[in-house]
Formats: sequence, C-alpha cells, structure tokens
Amino acid sequence: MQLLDKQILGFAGSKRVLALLIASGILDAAAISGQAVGLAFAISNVWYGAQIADQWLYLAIFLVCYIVRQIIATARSSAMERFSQRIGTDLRRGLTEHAFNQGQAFVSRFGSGAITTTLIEGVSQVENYLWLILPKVADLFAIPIALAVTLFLLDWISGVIALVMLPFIMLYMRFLGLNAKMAAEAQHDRYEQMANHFSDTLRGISTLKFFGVSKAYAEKVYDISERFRNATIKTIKVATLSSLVIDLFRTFALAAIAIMLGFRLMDGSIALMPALAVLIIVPEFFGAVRRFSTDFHASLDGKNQLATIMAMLNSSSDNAPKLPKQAAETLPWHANNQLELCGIGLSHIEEDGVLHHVLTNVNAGAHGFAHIGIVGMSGAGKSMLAQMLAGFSNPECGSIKLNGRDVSTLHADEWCKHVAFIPQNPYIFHASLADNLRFYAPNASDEALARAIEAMQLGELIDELPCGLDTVIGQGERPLSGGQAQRIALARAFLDESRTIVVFDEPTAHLDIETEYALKQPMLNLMQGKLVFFATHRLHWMADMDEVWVLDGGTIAECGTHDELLAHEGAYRKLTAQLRGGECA
Amino acid sequence: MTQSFSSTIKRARQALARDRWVKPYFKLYRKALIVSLLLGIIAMVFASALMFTSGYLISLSAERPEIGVWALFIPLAFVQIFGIGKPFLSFFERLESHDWILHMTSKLRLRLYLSVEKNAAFWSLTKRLGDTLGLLSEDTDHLQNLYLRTIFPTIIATAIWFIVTIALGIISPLIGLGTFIIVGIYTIALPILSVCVNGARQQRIKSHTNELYADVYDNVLGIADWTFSGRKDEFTRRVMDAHEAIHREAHTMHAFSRKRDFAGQTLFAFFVIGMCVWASYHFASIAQAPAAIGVLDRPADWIAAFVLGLFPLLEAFVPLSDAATQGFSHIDSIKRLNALESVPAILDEPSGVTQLTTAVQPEKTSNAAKDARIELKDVSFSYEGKPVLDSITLSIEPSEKLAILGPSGAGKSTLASLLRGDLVPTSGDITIGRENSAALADDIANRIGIIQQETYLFNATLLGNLRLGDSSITREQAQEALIAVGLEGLLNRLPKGLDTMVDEAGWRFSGGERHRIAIARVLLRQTPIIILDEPMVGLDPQTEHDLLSTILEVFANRTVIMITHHLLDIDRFDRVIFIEQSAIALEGTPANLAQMNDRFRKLLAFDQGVS
Repeated sequence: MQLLDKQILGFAGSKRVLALLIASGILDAAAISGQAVGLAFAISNVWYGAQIADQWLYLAIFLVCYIVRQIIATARSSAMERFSQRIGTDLRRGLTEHAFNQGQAFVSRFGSGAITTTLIEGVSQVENYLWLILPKVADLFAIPIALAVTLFLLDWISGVIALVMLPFIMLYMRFLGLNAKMAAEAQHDRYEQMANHFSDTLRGISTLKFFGVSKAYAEKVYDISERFRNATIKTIKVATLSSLVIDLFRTFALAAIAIMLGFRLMDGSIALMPALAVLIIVPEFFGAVRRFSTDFHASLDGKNQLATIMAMLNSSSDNAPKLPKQAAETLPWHANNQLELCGIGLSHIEEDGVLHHVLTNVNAGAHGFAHIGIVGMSGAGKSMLAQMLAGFSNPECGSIKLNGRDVSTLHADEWCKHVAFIPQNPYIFHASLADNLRFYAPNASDEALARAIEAMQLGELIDELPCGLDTVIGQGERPLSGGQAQRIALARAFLDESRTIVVFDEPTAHLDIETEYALKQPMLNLMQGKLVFFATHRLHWMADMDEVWVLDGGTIAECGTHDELLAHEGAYRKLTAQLRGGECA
Repeated sequence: MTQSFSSTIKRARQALARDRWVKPYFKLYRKALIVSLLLGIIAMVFASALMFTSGYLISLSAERPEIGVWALFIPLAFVQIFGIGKPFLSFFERLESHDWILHMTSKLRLRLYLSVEKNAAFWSLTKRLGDTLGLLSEDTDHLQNLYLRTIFPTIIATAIWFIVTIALGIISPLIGLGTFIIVGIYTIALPILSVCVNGARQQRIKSHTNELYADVYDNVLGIADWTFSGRKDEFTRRVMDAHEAIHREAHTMHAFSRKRDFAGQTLFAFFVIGMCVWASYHFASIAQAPAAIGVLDRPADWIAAFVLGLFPLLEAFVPLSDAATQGFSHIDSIKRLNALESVPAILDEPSGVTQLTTAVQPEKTSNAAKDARIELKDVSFSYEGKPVLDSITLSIEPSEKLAILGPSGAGKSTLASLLRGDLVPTSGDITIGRENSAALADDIANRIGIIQQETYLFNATLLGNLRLGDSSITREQAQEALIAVGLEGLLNRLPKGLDTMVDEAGWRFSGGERHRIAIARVLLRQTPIIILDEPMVGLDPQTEHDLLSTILEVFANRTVIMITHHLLDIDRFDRVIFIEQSAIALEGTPANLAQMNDRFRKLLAFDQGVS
C-alpha cells in the first residue's frame, strides 16, 4: 500500500503542508500526554485519599491540554481546507483551459460526459482526498512516535508492548491494504455494472414495453439486484474481516497493557498515576493507525480521480498552434485571397483501431468568394475535408498555401476566428435565444441582430416563443425542430461579419425536404460575399455553386461547374444516378 | 435563525409526512434490522465497558489485595470479554446492516422500476426520459446512504444516550440528569442546530454544483462553437466564478462545523471533569462506611472506571451532526421518489409488487392476432389542452405498405403511440383486428412491432438484445434474422459473434447497423404489423435506400406503416398520407399523387435534386 500519491508531493506547497502537519501532530501528541497525566494525577490523588477540591491544578492541566488539542484540530482543518481548495482551483482551471484549447478532439477522445464529471465531481473528490489523507498520513508517523516517548517515560514495559504491536499492525495493514484495495475496486466495478444495468433498463423501458416484456423484466431487475447484494456482502466480509483483525490487535494490546499494569501494580513495581495515564494514552496511540485505515478506503475514489485528471491534463501538449504572422495578417478573407491544397492526406483512427475516412492526395484551390460544393458518396471523405478546411484537424501530409505562403495547418485560432461552421446538428446552448444568436459576436447591435433574424427568417420562431428573443432554449427546454436549430446557427454565423469563410458540413441531411426547401433562401443569403465550402449529398445545391469537387475514395475525382460536370459521363453523373436511389445500389 | 429553524423543520416534516419510500421499509426484514441495530448498540457498550473495566482493574490492583491475583479474576475476565467482543460485534454489525440495506435497495429498485413501467408512455411524452430516470436511479443510492450514515447511527446513539442515562441515574439521579442533558446536546441539539445552520448551505452547494454541472456539460457539447468563437477564456472565467462561489459556501459551512466541534469537544472536557468530581464525592462518601465482609475493593476504585469509560462514547456522538446535515440533503431524493407515484397515469393499469409473480410471458401469436386490419374512426387526441390529432379516419389493410408524411410536430409519432394503445384517444375508436387497441394492453406487443428513430440496444450481448421479446429464440434463428437484414458481414466481423457485448447504449454500431439490429429484433417476433417511426433520420441516402429495400423485402407479408419525412423511394409504397396541422391533408398512391398533385410533384423533384 502506497501511503501517499507521488503526484500530491508535486503540488506546490504540499511539502510545507506536510511538514506543518507533522509538527502539529507532535504538538498534539504532547497535549495528549499532558491531558492524560493531568487526569491520572487527579484520579490517583483522590484514590489515595486526597480531596478532589485540591486537584484543581491537575484538572486545569487536563482541560488546557484538551482545549489545546481542539485548537490544533481546528487550525489544521482550516489550513487543509485552504490547501485543498487551492489545489482544486488550480486543477479545475487547468483542466477547463486544457479542454477548451484542445476543443473537439479532446471531447471525442475522452467523451463529453466523462470530461464534465471529472471537471466537477472528480475535482471535488480530489479536494476531499487531499483534505482527508494528508493529516492522516502525517499522524500515522508523528502520533505513535511522539506518544511512544511519553509511554516509555511513564512505564517502559507498556511502551515496549505498544511498540511491538505497532509494526505488526502496520505490516498487516500493508498486506490487507492490497487486499482491501483489490476488493474495493472489484466491488466498485461491480457496483458500477449494477447501477448501469439499472439505469440501462430504465432508459430502455419503452423498448421493453414495445416487446411486451416490461413486466417480466421487473423480476430480472430484482434478481440482478439480489445477486449484487450477495456479491457485495462477500467483498464486505473480506474488507470487514481485515478491520476486525486490526481492531483485535488494538484491543489485545490495550487489554495486555491493562493486565500487565494490573500485575505490576499488585507487586508494587508501578504507581497508580502512570498506570492510569498509560491507559488513557494507549487508545490514542493506536487511534492514528485506525483512522488512517478507515479513511484510506474512503479516499480511494479521490485517488483514482486524481489519476484521471492527470491523464487528461497530460494528454496532449499541442496547444493552439499559430499561423505564420504574414499569413495571419492577410485575414479576414477577402476577394483577392487564395487558398491552395497540395497533396493533402489525412486519416482518422476510430476507437476500434480501424483506419477510417482517409483523404489522399487532395489537390485543389479556392479563390476569393467562390462557392464550392463538395460531393461524394458516404465515406468518400466529404465531411473530413470540410472539417479540415474549417480548422478542426491538421493534415498529415501535403501542404496548405494561404496567399502563396506555406501554412502547415488551418487548425489555428487566427483561422477559426474567421470561419463560420454549420454542421448537420448545430449545437444550441442552454441560454436565451438572443445569447445563442450573439454567440460569435457578443457585442452585436440590436439592429444587426434584427437584420440577421430577417435574413434567416427567424421571425416565426420568435413569435412562437413565450418571451421572444429572451426565451431560454437548449437542453431540457422546449425542443426546437431541426430547421429551427439550423436557422439559429445560420443567423449566428450571419451576425458576425468578420467570418467571411463559411463551411457547411451536411447542413440539411437530417431535415425533411419541406424544411430544406424553406431553408434554401436563408442559406443563400448567408453565402453572399463569402468563401463557401459546402459538403452535402443533396445535389440540388450544386446549381448554386461556382465549382463542384467530386470526391471518390478520399480524393478529388473531378471538378468543375455543375453544368460542365453533367455534360460528360463521369464521376458526377454516376453520383447523380446513385443518389436518386437508382438501381445501381 | 428562528426562521431558518422553523422552515427547515417544516421542509423535513413535509417531505416525511406523506413519505412512502423510507418509512415503510422499517417494517421490512424487521428481524435483520433489529439485530443489526442491537449489534451496533452492544458494540458501543462494549467499547465503553472495556475502558471502564480496565480503569477498575488497575485501581483494584493498586489496592494490592492480600489474596493476590485471584482478586483480579473477574475484572480480568471482563477486560478480555469486552476487548475481544467489541471487534467481533462491529464486524457482525457491519455485515448485518449492509445485508439489510441491500435487501431493501433491491426492493426499492423493483418498486421504482414498476412505477416507471406503469407510466412509460408518460415518460416518453415528456421527453425528459434519460435525465429524470438517471436521477431516480441515483436517488435509490441516496436512500441507501441515508439509512446507513444518518438513520442507523442516530438510532444507535439515541439508545446509548438512554442506556447511559439510566445506568448512571440508578447510581445517582443527579449524575443521571446531568448525563441526560449533556449527551442530549450531542444527540439532539447539535444535529438540529447543524441542519438549521448548514442544511440550507448544503442545499445551495448542491444546487450550485448541479447548475455548474449542467452549464459545463452544455458547453462541452458545444465545444466546437467555443473553439470558433475565440472566447474560450470567457468560459474558463465563468467556470471559475461558479467554482469560487461553491468554495465560499463550503467555507462558511466548514467554519461552522469547526466551531461546533470545538464547542462540543470543550463541553466533553467539562463533562469528564464533572464526572471526575462527582465520582470522587460519591465514592469517597461511601468509603467512610465500613466495608462489607468479603469485599476486597474500596468504592474509590470506581472513580477511574467511570471517568475512563466516558472516552469511547465520544466516537458515537461526534459524527451525528454532520450525518444529520448530510441526511437532510437527501430530502430532495425522498421528495422526487414520492412525487413519482403522483405522475398522471395516462393509461390506468393496475400494477404493483403483487403482480410480479404473475408477470406475463409473451404468448405465441394467437389466431386473433393474425387479423391485422387497422381501423381508425374519427380519432382525436389532445395533450395538455392542445389538439395533436383531429378526427382522423383511416383504415389500413393487412400487408399494406403505408407511408405517413408530414412536417415534424404534425402528430405523426402520436399516431403511432395511439395505434399501440400507449395513449388513449380523447375521442374516437381505434381497432386492430376488431379489438380496441387500448384494451389489448400488453398483448399489443404480439400485434405491433416498432422500429424507432433511436434504436435502444441494451447493455447485453447481441443475442440478448435479439432475444428481448422471446427467450425461446434459438441461436440459429437469431443468426438467420441477422443474415436476413444484411448483417452477415457484421456478424462475422464481431470478435465473439452473437455473444459480443453491445457497448453502453449501443454506440459500438453505426446508425445503419443499429437499425438493422432493430429490424432483426422485430423480424424475430411474428407481429403482423410493423411501425417504423422515422427510422432513416441521420442516415445517408445510400444506406437509407438499402435499409428500405431490406425492410420491404423481409416484411413483405406484413403491414408496414412508415412514418417519414423523406420522399426517397416513396414509389415503393402502396399508399401515402400527409398529416398536416393535426389532420390528413393528402392521401393517395404515390403514382397518383405524382400525377395529380402539384405540391407533391414539386417536393419530389426537389428531393431528387432536379430543381
């Protein structure tokens, strides 16, 4: 069992905190001794026949020492609170910044749920972990050693018994720590499985109902829960058995010391006062060990969370690359700008380890406010190319030239700042409609907003909403139709005039045709006076494009205007036939 | 302060007054409950008794009685009994209490499941299914903690309080009264004070944390937009502000706990001194009396026993205050679970724990079920006062292929729920094979198979998912079904074939594959009617086309009702109806409509990209 995570010692100030904790632990031990001796003197004097009223000095010593211990505990607690909150703050800020710098790639890698949970729950658990474990680790060393000194001064035989027992307990704890840790982890996994099964069943309830088995499933829910109970009881038995052994050691030691004291009191080799003092001190002597072992289990979660956070933080050091200065200065994009793609290659490895959606040797160029359609069958790489152009990812080979200057990537803030990206399912934030629209341009004037609403024909939606523009929309609120969400995304892009590059990634794939039909005008409004890349399988858009890139197998098979391409038998004609649901399937 | 006191008590009372989720379980497995509480109480008594007898033992030894070691025989035996007994008692107490609590959790889960099952149609209508259900499943865990960390320790501590008071009260009413008051402060006053002062803070921390959670989750989902916005720092600032607010609240809470514990501990020091003074006077005054014959000890030997016996008790009382605050924060869970049963029952259907034993196994399709003629007569449905469907009359022939089109929100999916009898029409009749659809109850599953927009795959093996409706389905049948829906390739690719686990919520498979699994699942049930509820959303046209071919092929002999908004392949259906503004706006064969209807023709042209 490792007492302390090495990572904790890496936190700023942790060594100082640990040193202070050990020092205060020794002070605490001194107060324990004072308190025990004070009380023992009072009792033994009364026992020998003195008046309790004359013992006020000893009782005062007990009281003062007892209060000193409480002062130490309070001071420690507030110091630990400050320390753990400071570390929590650093971790939370670091992780938030890291996630938002890395962007989509980070989310795809770790999952949005896991990131959120780690950022909120994980950090608080780490705070708790630090708060709990550091004082316990310090006490594990400081208290027994300092108290052993007192025990030896009072009665060396008791000191010896306690000191002999201690390594046994420590050794056993080390052995059982491993066991208990494994047991706890196994139980935790099983618990997760169980909890997941239950919520899985609840979430799938309508499917169960469709199959007419939802009632029969109740039995299964109960069965699995009961099976889990048996398994848990088994693991708890192991864990509890270990604390039973530690407890036995402890009470054995106490009983042994009490009995030894009894015998020696009988033959007069020890006085009552030290014997009583020893009896008060011994439980405290083992108490530190016991508190550590109880909290050790409670802190396992925090320890695991710390590891998760560190893994996330160390996942990539590639923070927001920059465009070369001269290239960046040519932005925002205007009518004379020129973008060239030479031999671009890009691959994407999914979690199952299979290579997907490969782009190979893509050569193309875009000039000024051209409208470029990107078409192809599923899996031809349309989305990948569009996303690369929007600055989501770095090409693995080939080069990109911006106005003749080599830029290795478009994955840079300076580029993204000028891009409006319209995906298939635009994300609507849980905020007012106005805030959603102003997302890219928080300072846009009301007039500009009104123009955007007009151009994207959002008036109808606003009339429908109870508080108009101030209505809160998004997760958990009134559901928006796909068309409405798309209009919001379009207006968002329209509102920020500095975004003169528009990338569409299958913006209408999930919409019904009537909605798509209704969206056509707003979308054309947005495209005006902008460089447009439009990846889609809905070919009617191609008539509005200046140029069409036909992708096939990850590379550009053909390019030209809609009419040019239709004029001859080629990839585009083939695609047209296929997408009409022809017999070629 | 007084205001927060009364409002806190009121909240707790309100939550517990009509509670049917916490209190009734005390009656369940009562024996195990009593045993575990008794074990807890005795363990505490033993801990105190160990110090008590040790104190007595050494005082007695110091008397150096003439008969020597024999005099120590009885106290020695007790020291050993208490010393060894305490750890064993704690051991069994932990096992018993966990066993009880897990037993109860199984019951809670079953009950929660049954209440949700009863109102499944309601849950799907409100569209907050996932979140709420996730929350409810967490609530059962919270109840578990409430019992284990708050209720049990409080009961044990209260018992100890009375035992100690009575034991000391017999010796001297004065110290009995004193103990009653002082220990009462730990058992009652400090926990209530903590709940009043910190309960609201704890709630605020919880709600701040939930808000932060929702905010972060929302924005992590929209992370791509943040990347494009160039305003990333703004979000970091927002998170950190909320984080600071939570810390501030937590700090005031902890500061109070520290002050409270300091006061409690100081009180304990005075308690010890008080006990010491009382014991000295009490036993010293008895000491004047002549010792009875055969008694070896002096009353003064008891002083140390009484004082030392106090120390272990502290352990039972100090954690009570924080436990009470924690327990108070679970009140929301209790409320939520209790509110669950007042969910409006759309379809009143008797259901309860008693029904469990008679849970229906799906019967094999009866002859009556083969009659798949569907009739809708003047059917209307309104939800929350708004009309969703308005006098729909429609008859669907057996093995007809019908496409239902219309913009989202026009009531297409409601129509499907009505057909299945999950919803009951506000007026009008729906019959399937001459039987009322709502009256068919669970038997409806033998008539209608559904393929939804989102295929829900359970976190089980592929085979398990296919066997969902009927556990008698053989491996061969399952395999054949998968081959029929064109998943032979996938089956061969999967590492463990049919026994491959479907990842959580089924994300391992692509959209098209998930739909095919759903089709196979329905194919394996011999239902004469299949409803497809917008099954193609999010698929590319090629996949869509292939999938539709598969559907029409494997379900050639069954009624297929497809709710869709795409016109792709529409000519392969026998009939098309358009639902618009709650009513049927257009009806006819695709060929007819294409010829006669201008609007249909325009949409068709647009969909095919020949604008």
